[in-house]
Amino acid sequence: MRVRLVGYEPDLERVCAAAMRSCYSPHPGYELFTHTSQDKVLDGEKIFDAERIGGLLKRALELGHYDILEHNSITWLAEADEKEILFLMESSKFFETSQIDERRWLITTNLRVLVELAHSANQLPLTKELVATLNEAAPIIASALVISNPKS
Amino acid sequence: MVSKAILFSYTNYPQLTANLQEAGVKMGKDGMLRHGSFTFDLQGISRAASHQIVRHRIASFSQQSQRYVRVTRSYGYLKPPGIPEDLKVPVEIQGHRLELNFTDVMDLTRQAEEGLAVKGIKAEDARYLRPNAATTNIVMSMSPRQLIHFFNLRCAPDAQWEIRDLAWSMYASVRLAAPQVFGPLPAASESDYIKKRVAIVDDLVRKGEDGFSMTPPGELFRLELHPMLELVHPVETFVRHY
Repeated sequence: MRVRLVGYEPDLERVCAAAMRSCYSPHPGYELFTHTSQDKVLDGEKIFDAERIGGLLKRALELGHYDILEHNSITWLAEADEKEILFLMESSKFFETSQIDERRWLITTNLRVLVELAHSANQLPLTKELVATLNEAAPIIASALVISNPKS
Repeated sequence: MVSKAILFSYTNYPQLTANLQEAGVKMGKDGMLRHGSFTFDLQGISRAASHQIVRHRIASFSQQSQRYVRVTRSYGYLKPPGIPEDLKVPVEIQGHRLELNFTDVMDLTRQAEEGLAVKGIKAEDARYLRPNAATTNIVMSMSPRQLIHFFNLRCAPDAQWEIRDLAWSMYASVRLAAPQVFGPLPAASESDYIKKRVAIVDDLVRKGEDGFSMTPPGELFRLELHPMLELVHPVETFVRHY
């Protein structure tokens, strides 16, 4: 496999949705993040279940409110040449890379960058493969963007 | 109002390292600093502090809106401990002489902002009355490398007291959550103040390790910094356990 997903934070879509909602709520981000059952009352807030998270993230995509998708990191081990890595580094300040050996690189970025890459007309095979891993790391965003794994 | 720093999302380094080892890759501590993210929920901090925090790049911020969150539901303020509660200053308003303390002025600005809203002024305009002491909530994310830069600058003795307190709280949090990548601060080699406080954090984190590891997954562990690590104002410090 040319691209292997090796790390991302758990619940990263819930983190992004809580960050988004915290901009418009009297309640802080963590309180929203953990507002998952009726046991806890947060005045004026809906339960932070999958439907709520999905609604907020889809709204962020519609509005182009991509900055809330930056509250995470996703890391891959990838086979790539220097030209491809340079392309990534030029495309966003959020790309971090470490060269492992002649062909392999550790690459880290966030959900925002992946969404922007998914929308970009100018894609390399490598970026398509990175975007395809959204299905695992961020299934709600992946389904909203209708990302399909090229190998499936 | 008590400020809180909650580290609620961060890279799971043991898992990342295990995944890399499975692929035959071994990364050192310095290499891992580029790869990861730490997300804090900073609650009840002043706008004066948040203005300083958002100057840090590269980082990501989601801050409570003053336009969309109604003043009566969100308004709080942080009084600098250096201003005595009973210290009054003379002011003159429309020929009337008054003696006001800090709390009186905060109360006045809140009443004026609410009053404007009642008279139909948009929140986006009424908020211009809000002082720097007004509290806010902000979600911030940084990579470990950026955090170390942040700590080197903001844990320093000449940093402003509120952001310095927050920086020490955040530093202690990441030391507990990710000892694989965070160690003593580079700035400790140039500052006895930082060196002494890093040693105190070492001790506090060591004492907190057992409690943290026994915290149920998904729950918060409270890291007690006071009174060993002297802070100018209280910052309640929490780390979510995976």
